[in-house]
Amino acid sequence: MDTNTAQRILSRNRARRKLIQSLKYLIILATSFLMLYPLLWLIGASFNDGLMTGFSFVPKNFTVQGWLDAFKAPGWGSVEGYSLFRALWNTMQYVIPRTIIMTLSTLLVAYVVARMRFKGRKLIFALIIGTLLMPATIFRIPLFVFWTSDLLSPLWEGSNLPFMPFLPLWAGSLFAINSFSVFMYIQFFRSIPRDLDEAAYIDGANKFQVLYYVLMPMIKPIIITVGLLLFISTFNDYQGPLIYRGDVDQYPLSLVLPMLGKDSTNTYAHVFTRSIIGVSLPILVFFLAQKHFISNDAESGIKG
Amino acid sequence: MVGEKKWLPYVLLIPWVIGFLVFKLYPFINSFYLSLFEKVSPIQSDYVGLANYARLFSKTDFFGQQFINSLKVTFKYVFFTVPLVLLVSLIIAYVLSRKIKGVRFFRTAFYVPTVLGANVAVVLLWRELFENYGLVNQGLAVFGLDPINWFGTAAGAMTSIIALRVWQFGSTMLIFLAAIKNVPDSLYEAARIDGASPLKQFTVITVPMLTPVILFNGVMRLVETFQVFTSAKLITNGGPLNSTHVINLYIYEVAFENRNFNLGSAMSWILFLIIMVFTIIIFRSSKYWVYYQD
Amino acid sequence: MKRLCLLIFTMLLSFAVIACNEDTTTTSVTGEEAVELSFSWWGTTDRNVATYSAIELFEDMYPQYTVVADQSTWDGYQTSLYNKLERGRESDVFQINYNWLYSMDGEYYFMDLNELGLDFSMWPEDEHLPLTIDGKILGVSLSETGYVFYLNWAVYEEAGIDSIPETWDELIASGQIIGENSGGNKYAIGRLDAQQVAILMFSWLAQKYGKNVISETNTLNFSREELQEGFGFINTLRSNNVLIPSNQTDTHTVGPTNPNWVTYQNYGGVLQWNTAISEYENELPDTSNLVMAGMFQQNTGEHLGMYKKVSMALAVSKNVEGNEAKKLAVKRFIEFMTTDADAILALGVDRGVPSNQTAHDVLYNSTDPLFTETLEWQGHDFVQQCFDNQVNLGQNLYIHPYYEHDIFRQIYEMPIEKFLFNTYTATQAINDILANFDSTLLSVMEG
Repeated sequence: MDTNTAQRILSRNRARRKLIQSLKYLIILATSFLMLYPLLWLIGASFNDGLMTGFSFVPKNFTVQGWLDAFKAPGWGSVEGYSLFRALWNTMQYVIPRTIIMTLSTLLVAYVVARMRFKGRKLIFALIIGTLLMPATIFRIPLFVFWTSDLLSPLWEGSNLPFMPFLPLWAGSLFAINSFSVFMYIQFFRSIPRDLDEAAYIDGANKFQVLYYVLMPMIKPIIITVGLLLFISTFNDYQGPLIYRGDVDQYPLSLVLPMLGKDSTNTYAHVFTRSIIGVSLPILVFFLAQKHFISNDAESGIKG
Repeated sequence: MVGEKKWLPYVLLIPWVIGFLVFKLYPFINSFYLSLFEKVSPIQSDYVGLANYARLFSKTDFFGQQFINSLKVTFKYVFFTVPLVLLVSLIIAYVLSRKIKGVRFFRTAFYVPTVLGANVAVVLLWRELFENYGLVNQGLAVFGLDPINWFGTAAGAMTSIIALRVWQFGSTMLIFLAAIKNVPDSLYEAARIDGASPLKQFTVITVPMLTPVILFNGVMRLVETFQVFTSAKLITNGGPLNSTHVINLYIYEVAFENRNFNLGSAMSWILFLIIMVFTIIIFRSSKYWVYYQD
Repeated sequence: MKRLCLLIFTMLLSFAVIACNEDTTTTSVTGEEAVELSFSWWGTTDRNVATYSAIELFEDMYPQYTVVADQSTWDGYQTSLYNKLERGRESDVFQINYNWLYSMDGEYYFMDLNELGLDFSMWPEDEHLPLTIDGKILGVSLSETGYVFYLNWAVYEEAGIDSIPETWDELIASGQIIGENSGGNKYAIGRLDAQQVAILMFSWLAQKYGKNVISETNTLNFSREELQEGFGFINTLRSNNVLIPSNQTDTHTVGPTNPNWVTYQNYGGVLQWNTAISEYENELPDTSNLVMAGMFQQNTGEHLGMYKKVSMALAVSKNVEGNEAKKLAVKRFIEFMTTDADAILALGVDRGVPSNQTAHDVLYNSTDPLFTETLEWQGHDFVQQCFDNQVNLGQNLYIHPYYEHDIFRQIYEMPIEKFLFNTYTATQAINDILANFDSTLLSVMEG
């Protein structure tokens, strides 16, 4: 091979590498655009009076009316005492208990299954995996019948206590029924060597001390991840509240937002502003938690 | 082990066992039980055996016609959505795993739509995006293309709800990304020495090494997409001409809007069996295509 | 991590505080027999504001009563009501659609209003017949309604048309003129959905054959040939710029907010319940002018083809039955809402033109505002005029209680929708309708 051919191959390689390099960025940038532009457009539309009639996200008829009236919810605002705050609080009444309790209860179950030896452990694990793949749809009707039975409905229906009106939507968390969370924890526990536990036992620690002092610092990221995923999925839940819907003052955001479409009192600006408010909380929580989340979901052990 | 109390795990698992019995096993069985009855009046239900099931597969019954249409529509949705989500997230994860500037930013950017998920606000926005005068058609106009009546044709409406799901490929991507990082560098080294291009490396090393994760993601997405609801309800409301009238939406309408729990339960059971069959087929087939390292 | 928790916690706390603050409006009423009364309804802004002010008037008059208002949009109201009815948690008084008596098992869930001692002689004689099952009156009729054409006169004026069309032929001629003048972009009517086209076609057929779409024996009253004519007529409308040629080209399902109605004003009219026209009017800019055009006729001077029904009714919860104090409160509330002059004026025509004679007279005699000039009122007059004329001719076009049943309506709406989307020919649509109509009607009527 003479130097000429070698150089030619080298330069061809360099050109190819450049091409691949730019292709890489092209894919990424194009995808980013597709991902984020609708959201940018949404923000622009919330400042636009009337229909957005162009591709650009810059509002043509600038207005802040949508934002000024955002929480008063015109139209719906004719209802005394209701506002988006009320709806947000209603949402929180099942998001808070479900997220917090489920995060902890599934952690405990996972810990028992992953770290303790007892008869029937295999069966429990199999049941967790089995229910992981069960479609929620099949439980929905019987559970509705269950919760609306004469025995149980007085517990929650029309209740004045906080959280209680939404009991059917979060009661399961008390019993760690979210198989996916349990599964994620178990996989994570498996990636932590048992030697650590053993060392602590020798020092006289009990099961809970091991969980709290030895494992907790290491599993903090996965706790945040599970918690965040539960928060997001609960916050975004639509079918649950839809099925149990009752009084309007108990409607969460997911029921209120579709009610407040464009009409003669709600302009497009109002509608889009409220959409932004509707998604702002999960976004905020995500950004606060993402430092732990992103880097650790990676190792969270969902390794198939 | 010192101080091991034999009963401790059982005590700790009591809540889970109760939860399993009350929230999983009981509704599972009761769902089938309900499907064997027919409501005659608010205070009376008659045992009808498997008549509800027969009805759902009868071509002459109105519910049957709708139900079979719903099944077809759901299959269409699932068979486009699952592979698309897997493909897009796999490609993006692979590109992100190559040295790239601003990885953190992109990773976050790609995950944001997933955070919004099936949030009602986003779903409502999606409807606006695909409207006659919406952003998507404005975008087509930029390229000199004619506007499309997305909600006017079965294919267009289906595309809009599939697009929403594919847009949210974030969590699948993150799982792939994690798995790609676990692929030993030595394999890539070897490939590079052999002069394999990045594309070749992707198809020969990355994809085979990821097959267990692809299996996991595929099954999870399959179970999830078979139950699609929010987008079909709020974007297209099953239309036009029932072309996006997915099964979960139909179950909701029959069970909760028309108060026919019995027929709704029968439909749920059929959906359950379909998902089971697919899951089993995929797991059975996995020995032919999933590569386990050890 | 700690900061994060703290932040979230404070946020939640502030929501809780704000939300709780709004709750503190419950006041105790002084009086001998304080009764809390609940009332739920669906509606848009106008109706909600009106209802709240009427409720205030009621509370002023009867300080011992407090009314808890539960107001919702149309969408979802029925499911919520179902959820509550099943466990006896419904409001004491609630607004219903007339066909719910049948589809929601009203016999089991609604109170027999004979027990309340209301003066039903204030209503037209047969008004409560459709609301009566086994001798039990299950709802108080608020108003009646029928489908009426309303035209955006700006579109017609622009094309140089100077009088409101009365017959179908004139409508078709207007469509041609509007089409020519706008380069084919504008329509005499525009987009109608399957529900509206169904009633249009059944009205047109009723004008020709004098028959209700559903017979006395609960079967389809039109033959294949008659339906063929009906679909042919729809095609005529579609090819003459009256209706858009295919609903595929415009997919906005919400009529009043459709940009082709509001922003671009390509559509010259709409066929709507006369009780539901206000949103269409409100959405239009001030430069346009919505006019009532009634129902177009086969020949000038005729008044035929008008289907009507009770627009909405008030039903009372069975929970009220055993409680005398509450029964009295409910009776007073319903009487107040249907006869008190101030309340009537406040409520106006937001629930249609009242059927109760007292209420009707109050609004009829009011000079400010002039209710008789409203589109609702004009439509109402037209509906009644046609219907009375039909009765004289021995035609009964009262809407069958199952015509709008959620499941049954799809039997005729789905084929029509396919036809409007041009995925079905008229023959295919008719085949589907004939194949399922009678059997499905029978099955939904049996429960």
